[in-house]
Amino acid sequence: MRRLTLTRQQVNQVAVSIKHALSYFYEHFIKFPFYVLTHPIDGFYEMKHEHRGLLRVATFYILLHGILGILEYNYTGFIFNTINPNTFRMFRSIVVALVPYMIFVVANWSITSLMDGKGKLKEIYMVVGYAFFPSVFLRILNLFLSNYFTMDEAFFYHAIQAVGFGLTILMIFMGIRSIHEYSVMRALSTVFLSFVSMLVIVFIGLLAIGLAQQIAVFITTIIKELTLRL
Amino acid sequence: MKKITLLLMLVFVSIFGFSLQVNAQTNYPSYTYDYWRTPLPGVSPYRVKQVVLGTSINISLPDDPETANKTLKYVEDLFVTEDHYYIVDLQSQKIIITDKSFNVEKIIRDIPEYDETDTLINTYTLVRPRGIYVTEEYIYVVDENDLTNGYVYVISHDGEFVARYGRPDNPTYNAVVFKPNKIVVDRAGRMYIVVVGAFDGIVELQRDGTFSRFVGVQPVQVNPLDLLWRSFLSREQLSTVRLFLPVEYNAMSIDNEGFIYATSSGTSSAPIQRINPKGMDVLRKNGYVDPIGDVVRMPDQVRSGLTSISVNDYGMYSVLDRSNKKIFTYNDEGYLAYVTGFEGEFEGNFLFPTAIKYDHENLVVADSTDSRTIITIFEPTAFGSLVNEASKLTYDGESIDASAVWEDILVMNSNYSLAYVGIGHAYYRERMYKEAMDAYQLGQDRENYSKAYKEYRKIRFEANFPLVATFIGLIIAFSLAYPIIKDLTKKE
Repeated sequence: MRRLTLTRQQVNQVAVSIKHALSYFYEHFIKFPFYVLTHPIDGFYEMKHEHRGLLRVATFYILLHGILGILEYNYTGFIFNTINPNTFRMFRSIVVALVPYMIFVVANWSITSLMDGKGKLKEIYMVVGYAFFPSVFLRILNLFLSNYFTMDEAFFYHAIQAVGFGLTILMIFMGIRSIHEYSVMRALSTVFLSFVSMLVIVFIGLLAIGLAQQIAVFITTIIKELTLRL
Repeated sequence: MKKITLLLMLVFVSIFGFSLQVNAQTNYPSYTYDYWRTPLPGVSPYRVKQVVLGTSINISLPDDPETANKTLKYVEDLFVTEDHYYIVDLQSQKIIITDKSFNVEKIIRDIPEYDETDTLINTYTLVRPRGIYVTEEYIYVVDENDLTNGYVYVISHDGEFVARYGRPDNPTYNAVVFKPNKIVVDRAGRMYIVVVGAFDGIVELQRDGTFSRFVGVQPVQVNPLDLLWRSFLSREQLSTVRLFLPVEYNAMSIDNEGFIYATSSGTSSAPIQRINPKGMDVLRKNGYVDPIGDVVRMPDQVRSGLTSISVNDYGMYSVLDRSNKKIFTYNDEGYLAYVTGFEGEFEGNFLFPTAIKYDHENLVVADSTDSRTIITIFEPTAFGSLVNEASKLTYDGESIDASAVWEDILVMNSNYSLAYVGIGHAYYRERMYKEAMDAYQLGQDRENYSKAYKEYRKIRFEANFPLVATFIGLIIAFSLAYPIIKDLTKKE
């Protein structure tokens, strides 16, 4: 049997690379999002003009936001966990968490490109991704705390949840305003119009799905008919 | 080979024979709701003990040839005492008093009034008797009379007239007509009367028949869409639109402590109320679903229309749902204990149930249509009596004794979440908080779980306090000492 032996140099190498990874993670996944959270105007400016943000960070937090639903289902303390296991669906939970925001990204992009916004699709996506940072962070905190809270402390639980959600909405708004270089009123109106166009997108999406279904049924019936006749 | 076939046949016969027997006892489904408002099938809590056909109760009066060979026509209300049944027959305008095996003992239609010298002064006749209540002293009957001027009759147990009260002569009573529908009487002799068309609540009469007040008021239901629509209407149009009126009560029952249980059908948000002596609704609603009848409706099902209620000695109350022909039984905490009953013509099923009353553990239900009148007596099955027993023990504060009964219930129906809560209560009382938490979790009772966890957390914290304190102390000490250590190491 061969022994797995590591030289001192190898151990050092591994240690250094772990240290690198950790510092990379801290730098990009914690420190900068936190900086954006605490300095939204500067933060989003630097994200846009000095390219300090990373796409993978945004994606990371968006995915985490999607997956947190499942973690919450599994690990939230009993008192705060009112999810019905009979109707909970993993995939649906992810989709329901993410789809509205993704539609918002597309809707906002389509509206702002008409209303001379300076932001690109990628930047809107990154704004949404970085905006999830406080919400994701506080939800993880809540996930932990909910196991130690009684109903008397329910207020704190719900307050933390509300603060997380509120900060996310605030960051999305600040980010949208910043990357499109809008005034506050203009940003508000574009956000409102984004919601309208979200409805349009959902409507068209449902229509397309319905039509696709019809076509699929039509083709399958033809195939069935043919196989029966031939 | 022969032996095997014989054995198989034996097995089949025993299985099917047994299942047939089970089916014969219950011809309707039973269920309860769980925490997520899902109806879960359960074990049938009541089975038919006796079916009394209206045609088997002869109500002919000896001195009136017109009533010869008449039988019970339409049961509007029922009352059960220790050894009598009191049946209100609306269509033949009589009160029929029978013993416990439904042998007619007395029939009241004409109520003679005598003065002190025992000479007959007057005879009153029941016209449209609607409700009855019996105390040790008197029989109270409400009569709609000509549908405008109803009366409350107080009759002695000999059938003699004692008093008669008409429309309350009080400015607070502002309805034009007085159509008393149901009556209950508390221990002090105060009469509580449900009056059709009186939207202010239940009429309370003093012992001497004077009007004292209205008790219990139904919240007015306002539909925002209706409200919006109304704002566009002119005054003329508005006068033709239905008013926002509180829903009326339609039945009552009174418990040992003098709380009135009242039901109302229709769109009330609180169709069952427990009215305290102050006149407020104090019904406990700790259950998984609110006590409103069905909370989930099948596509073809209508809203529960609660029309009769009866409360027993330990706070359990059964409500009759006339729309869906079911009986909902709740315990004193407001948990739905079980649902039974089904529409149909088989024995134990209902067509148009009118009244329900507890007779100790048994339920007496009157089912009346114009063509058919049936009084069905249900007795609890093994499951039903266990649930009742456990509820009684819990009501009396004997949750530890109840625990063993809840365990037996779970053997029969593992869907029965309420049993886990009961077991949790017992563990909690015995200060076994961890076990209580597990039981409450199975029973999906978050509030009690929280209480148990609070105690558990306290114990855990106290037990581990030295460890926690040491740990925190070390952290503080280290954070204080860290700069010094850093300084020292730098110097070297």
